[in-house]
Amino acid sequence: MNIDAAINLPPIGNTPAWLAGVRQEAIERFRQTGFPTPRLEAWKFTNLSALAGTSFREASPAEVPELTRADIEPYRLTPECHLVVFVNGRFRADLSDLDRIPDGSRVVDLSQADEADLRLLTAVPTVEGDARARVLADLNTARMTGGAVVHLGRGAVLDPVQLLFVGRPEGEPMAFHLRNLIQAEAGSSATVLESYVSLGKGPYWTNAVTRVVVAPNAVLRHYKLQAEGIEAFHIAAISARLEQEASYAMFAASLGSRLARHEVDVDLAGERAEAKLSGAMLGRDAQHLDTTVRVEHSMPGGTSSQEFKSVVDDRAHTVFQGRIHVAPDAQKTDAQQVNRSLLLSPQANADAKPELIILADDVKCSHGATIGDLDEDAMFYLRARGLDVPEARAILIDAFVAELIEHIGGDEPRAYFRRAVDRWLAGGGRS
Amino acid sequence: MLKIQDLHVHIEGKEILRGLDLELPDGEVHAIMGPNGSGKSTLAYTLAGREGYDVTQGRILFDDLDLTEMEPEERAREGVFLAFQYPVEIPGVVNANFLKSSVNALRKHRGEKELDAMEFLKLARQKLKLLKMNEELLSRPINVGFSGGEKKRNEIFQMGMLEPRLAVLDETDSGLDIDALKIVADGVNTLRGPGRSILLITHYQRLLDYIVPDKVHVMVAGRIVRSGGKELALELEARGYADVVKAAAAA
Amino acid sequence: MVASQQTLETLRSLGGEYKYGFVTDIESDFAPKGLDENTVRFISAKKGEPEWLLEWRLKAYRLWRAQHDEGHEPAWARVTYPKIDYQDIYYYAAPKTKNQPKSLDEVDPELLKTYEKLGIPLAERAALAGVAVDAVFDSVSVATTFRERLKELGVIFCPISEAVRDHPELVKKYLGSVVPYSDNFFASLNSAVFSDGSFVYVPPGVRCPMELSTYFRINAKDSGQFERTLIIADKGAYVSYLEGCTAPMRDENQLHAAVVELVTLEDAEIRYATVQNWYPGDKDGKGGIYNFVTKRGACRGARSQISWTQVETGSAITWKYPSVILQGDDSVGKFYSVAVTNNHQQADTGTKMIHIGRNTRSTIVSKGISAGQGQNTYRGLVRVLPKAEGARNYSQCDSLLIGDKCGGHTVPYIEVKNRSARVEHEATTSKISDDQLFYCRQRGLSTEDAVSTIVNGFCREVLQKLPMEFAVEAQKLLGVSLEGSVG
Repeated sequence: MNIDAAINLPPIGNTPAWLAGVRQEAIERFRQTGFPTPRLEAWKFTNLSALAGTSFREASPAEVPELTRADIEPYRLTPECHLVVFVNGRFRADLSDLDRIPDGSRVVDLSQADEADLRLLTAVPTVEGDARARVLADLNTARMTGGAVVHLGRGAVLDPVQLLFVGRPEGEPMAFHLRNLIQAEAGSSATVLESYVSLGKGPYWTNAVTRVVVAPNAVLRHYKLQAEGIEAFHIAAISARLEQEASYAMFAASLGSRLARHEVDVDLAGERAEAKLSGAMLGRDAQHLDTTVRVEHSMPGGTSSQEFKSVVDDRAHTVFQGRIHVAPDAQKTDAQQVNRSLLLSPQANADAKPELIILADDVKCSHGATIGDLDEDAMFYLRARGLDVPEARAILIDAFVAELIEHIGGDEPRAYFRRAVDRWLAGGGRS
Repeated sequence: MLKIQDLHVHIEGKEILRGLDLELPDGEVHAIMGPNGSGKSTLAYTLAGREGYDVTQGRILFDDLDLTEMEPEERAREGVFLAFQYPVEIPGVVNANFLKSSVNALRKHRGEKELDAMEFLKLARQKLKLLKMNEELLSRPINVGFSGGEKKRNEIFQMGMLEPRLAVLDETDSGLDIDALKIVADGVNTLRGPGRSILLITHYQRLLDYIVPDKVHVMVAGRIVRSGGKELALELEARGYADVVKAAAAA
Repeated sequence: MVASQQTLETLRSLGGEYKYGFVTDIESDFAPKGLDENTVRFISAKKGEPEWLLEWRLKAYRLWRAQHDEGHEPAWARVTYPKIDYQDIYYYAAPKTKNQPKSLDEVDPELLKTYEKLGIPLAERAALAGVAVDAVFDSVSVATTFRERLKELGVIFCPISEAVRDHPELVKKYLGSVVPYSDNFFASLNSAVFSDGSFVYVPPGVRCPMELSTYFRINAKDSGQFERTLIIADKGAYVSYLEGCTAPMRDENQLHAAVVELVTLEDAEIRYATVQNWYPGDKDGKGGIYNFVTKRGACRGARSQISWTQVETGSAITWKYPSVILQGDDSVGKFYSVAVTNNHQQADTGTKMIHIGRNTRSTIVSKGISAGQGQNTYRGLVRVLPKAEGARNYSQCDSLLIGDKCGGHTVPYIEVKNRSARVEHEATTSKISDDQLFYCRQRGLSTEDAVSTIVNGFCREVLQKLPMEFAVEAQKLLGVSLEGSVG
């Protein structure tokens, strides 16, 4: 893509001078490094050459695809939920539903972000990582055009909020640089669902960066459905900071895109914080789906769990990289991680790199990873009960994913993901 | 043999034992009974010298020795044995090897010759036979994959090997079915005798049907509130702890 | 199985202090310090090597040189050390002798005394102990005992320099066939300058009746040790090989960059065991060996097996990944490892299991123990290629932490390209529980004995894979290595 075009930074509100500087530095870093390659450890299993080789254009603010509420209705969590809609990277007030946000809380577009929001949005992630591996977030910093700023006031309850990102490809491939902020103040509680879907065929690139801050004793359930079109590229980086006794649950279903990377960094930056991260990657055809998770236990008494599964069919390829890092002072940490991959076809393949970096001694940490076909004993059992092979397989695959869905908090989100998985199991699922 | 005087013990700043007095003469078996939370297990751990059990007042005398400030292994070498309520699993450490180190640590302390592998094995087989236990016990890792009954049996076997002068059995009967209970009780009865005092800590009278104590003490809120003969256990069984608790509160 | 009692004693260092820290006063024959093409030619000439081997060395040297000049020393391992000045090392140091000794009587008595101190069964005692020993002192093989009996069976066990002379066809066929000179930075360096090491060939159908054993020692100051070991088990053959290592205490760091290649043909089996107790440096991290080693086996034939068992307690830095390439159908690879880091030691070690053939199986059991400020990383790769129908791997990696200044890390890579494969990996990290410690102390063990007992239990699965007497020594070493780790 043409990097020089990035010099003309799209303005956000009345861009303050410091922000212009931050954006300039970000684009410099991207310009120096270019797209990450598998030579970088963090991108060892995911090759971005197809993305890097595609030239993307910037969607002009004047292009406003014609869409109605009826068009997006199928993707809505519930008819009543708070809804903020972005089409081709830009906020669409006409499609959104934000009238009932309670006082003290705020859900607005990036263009209305205030200085404090912008500072949080552009702060350097606290989870340790190779800066060269994060240049797509830098590119986002330089070119962000929209995104949701969700601010939960002290003790507020907002349940649920849906951020719906619609790709509507037209003409030359477009790139959408979305920047979201979810900030939960002390004692607040919310469910926030991010949905990424396509209306129409054709290549485009979603490059989303979401920053999350969960203040003491706040509870955030953060869900994400990635069901973009089969020609789309989806790169998303979530970076969450949990303060004392904050509780953060994140579930992501990744089943769309030709190439997708779902990256989650969580810093348990306050004592006794809790993070529950889970996800399902469902891949078929020649899809490449990557989930990369880094959990940093910076403070004592934290609890984290990771449970990620993939189902890989056809020639698809899934990647799971999960790191647990326990800092020297983070005693009494309990960190667990499980990764299971199911290979359904001879050409399917899966890579896993579960990693434990432990620098405190009074900890309980473990990880487990398995890769393989369906359990033969279970298959035999079901067939002995009269099911044929496809039926037996379908039941076991369903059960494999259902374990994750069952742990999703809230009936509506659970039903929403259940439907998405059912569509995938029936052969569809991507928009 | 054992003399506990005005013992006060704190755990994380909270007082659990509040002036406990107890005397256990040589060769006798005493039972300590009491409701949950009365401090029975605290007493067991305190006698064995567990970290975090802070003696703030009083002392524990063992013959001429003051145990109060001694390290756990020093007490063990002097002949104090604790049969744990929940024996811990130690993966990969084979019972026989462990016990050999343990027996030899005690022998060395007493100035006796350490046993070599053959002598140890001979002794272990004798004890197993005496206690009617299976030799397989020797080759298994300590308590790993043991049933509740097996763990308790292993504790009694270790007691047999170490020949303590004072054995504290902490709820050795808990979680045992009647057959396992008999085996454990038979083991203890085999091991009782002159030169060895036994302190049985139990919640239920059941165990005392099989190991008849010389004396029974009732513990409530960190103190001995009543002492008597073996018939006291039957009385408690029939009437429950409510009366003694009330009496203790009134006192 | 009669084991190598004396070799074992070598590893015995009870009393806490590193026992093998003495320096032998012996006249050494050095190549000039530093490394260039002339050094390579010097070494090759010293050995009277054929032209093809010199050429191979030079190719390796040039490749290494290019990597070195471009700054491509491997940096991915979780270890840190100051830059090595490769020009400040002696690449060839041999005890000076007028002529090659023909029998033990001709070996320098000073040298024999050294081995006596180390407890190596060099003389006739070796026969009684039933072990054949090839002792490598700095760079050259000093004597190989027990060769006659092996000869009757057709087993070749000799210094590799001798094998080059006497069995050139075997050496030429297999040298570099598992670890090519281009494999990695340190393998290239080794290929260029290796001066000695052991060579073993077990002919078809022969079960080697005794443990073969090599004993390595670095003596000369500022010298590196670059031995090269090559073991071939022909069809249906079996051999068990033990390796032990020590080095004197020196304030400077010393480099050890060895290469070990194993080849098994159909139905053959090699068991390779290492007890590595190189000088780890002092309590403040001064001195110690940099142990940068490439070890790899190829199960070329169907149903063949290779197992690596290692107990790594020494070295300032350990960087090694004994691996198995499972080419033959139904072949089996195993890796059992105990690695201890105390004080300032760092270890980045693990294995690679590359499944190529059908129904290939691999097992990985790794136990890492960190104490003091030690950093211990398991790094491993399990790769199942598309044709490895029915491949199986099971990995278990456990870390035990003693004290709050150390680190235990697990970095497995799992790559599966065949549906019928089944790969399972589990890892845990924990400390010794207070309950376990108290239990042991209540039974009369001191805190140190309790820790040593629990640690040995933690490692049991691996120690069991060692020949028994070796295992006993390894247990003691574990205890010694961890001394002072519990306050």
